[in-house]
Amino acid sequence: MIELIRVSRVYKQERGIHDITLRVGKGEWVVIVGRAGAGKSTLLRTVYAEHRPHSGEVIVGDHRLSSTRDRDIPKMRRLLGIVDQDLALVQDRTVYQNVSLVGEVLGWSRKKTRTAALRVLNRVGLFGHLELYPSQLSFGEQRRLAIARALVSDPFALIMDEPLGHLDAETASGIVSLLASIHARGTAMLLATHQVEFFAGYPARVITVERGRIVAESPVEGMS
Amino acid sequence: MRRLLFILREATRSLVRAGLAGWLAIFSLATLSAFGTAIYGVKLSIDQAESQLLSQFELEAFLKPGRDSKLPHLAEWLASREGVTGVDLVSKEQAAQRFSDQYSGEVFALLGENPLPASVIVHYDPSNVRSVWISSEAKEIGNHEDVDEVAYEGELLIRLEEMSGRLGLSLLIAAASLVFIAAFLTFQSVRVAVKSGVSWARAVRFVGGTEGQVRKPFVAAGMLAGLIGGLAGAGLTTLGQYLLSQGGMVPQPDWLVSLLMVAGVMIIGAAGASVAIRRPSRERGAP
Repeated sequence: MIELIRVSRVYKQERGIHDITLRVGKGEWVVIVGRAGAGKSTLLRTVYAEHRPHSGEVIVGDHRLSSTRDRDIPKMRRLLGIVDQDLALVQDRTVYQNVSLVGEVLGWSRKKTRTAALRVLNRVGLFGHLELYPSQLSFGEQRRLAIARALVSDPFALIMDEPLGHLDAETASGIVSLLASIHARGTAMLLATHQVEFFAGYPARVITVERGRIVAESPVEGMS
Repeated sequence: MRRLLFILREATRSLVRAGLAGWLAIFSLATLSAFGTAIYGVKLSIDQAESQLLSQFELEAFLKPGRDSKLPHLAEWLASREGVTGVDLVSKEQAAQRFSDQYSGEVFALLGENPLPASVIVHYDPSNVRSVWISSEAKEIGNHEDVDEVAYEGELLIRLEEMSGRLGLSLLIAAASLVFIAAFLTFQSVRVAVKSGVSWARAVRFVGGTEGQVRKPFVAAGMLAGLIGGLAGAGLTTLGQYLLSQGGMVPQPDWLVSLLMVAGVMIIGAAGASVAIRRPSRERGAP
């Protein structure tokens, strides 16, 4: 469970997020919609504690961010699968090595790392690209690779900023289908996008953010 | 063990990933260690030259007229003094011979006697020979009941000390400037090298890596760059000094100082990386 209670994180000129209250339950799919600068990315980064809120409380699983020390934040992040909009792929590592990085960081055995990495790469459709480098992949495949890396540790929620950015319609639809299959296995989703139309027909709850505040909430089918 | 392997593997990758910036960092650290070792080598050479000059230094104590029989006693007293490495006794006859060799013996025939006093030439340990010390030493010897006067090259000593002091100061300024410039270049190149690993650092944080797991490989990469650069820079300079020393041109290198220089640039590399990684890891200031 992810919960934000009256969370604010304000930057210069009133940018950021103001008094946001939001709950993402187990297996729930939430899409944050808004224009550039509306506060979507700030909201997501606050959830995975890239920065702390100026006020309010963020709860991820059993962790309350206000009482979590900096050194314990990694433990909180291990509950989440995080895909930032820049993807943060390691360019000098192959597809397989990018995904197996998780096992190395978490201190898994080679066998466990290999099994988990290959399974998740198969799920996202990159099993045939193990030895390629990120620069040799298309934008859509790079997105799949970032998703694979986020899923290796089997997190209870996937957080993804602009999952469809810079993608053509066909590739974007493919990514949404992949996200739907991940959601179908019980993983909660918290996504931020300005392309909500691709989520029509999926069981997602859409939250509209403007100037850092939630202004509307509805199921995606209800969007005009 | 697994953690250590992770750090070492990622440190090597980080250095390779940095590409040109990594090489620049190594080159800067090599230059820094080479400068450091070379400057220390020059200092050793100056010290050796000064020591050789000072080893030639001698003080001559002349006996009072009519006390020639006291010469052995005076020599014994002088030989027992602190910093004295040896004494030479010069009898009246030897003094006359020395004078004749240098000038002419006719003067003694004209005078009908040998007016030159017997003396003791005192040799000192070069490390003790300082103008102030020698001045008080000469005064003390001059006060001896059998000594008429004391002669030594005091002016030369003062000039030598002034020259040595100026050279030492120049070396210090040169060393400080070079170290500053090299440390600045090192820091900048290490910073660029660290920047190339920002994506890796973000990836590690996203998957639940600790700050230690992010920072340690960079710090280790800085140390590795320092080790490679230090071994290349200080190593080659020390080897060069060793080869020159075989011909007696310069003193033998001090291997411990070379090792310390390598350790020093390893610390600078690690510190540069440690400071550089703090910048990209800071909290973002804007959404």
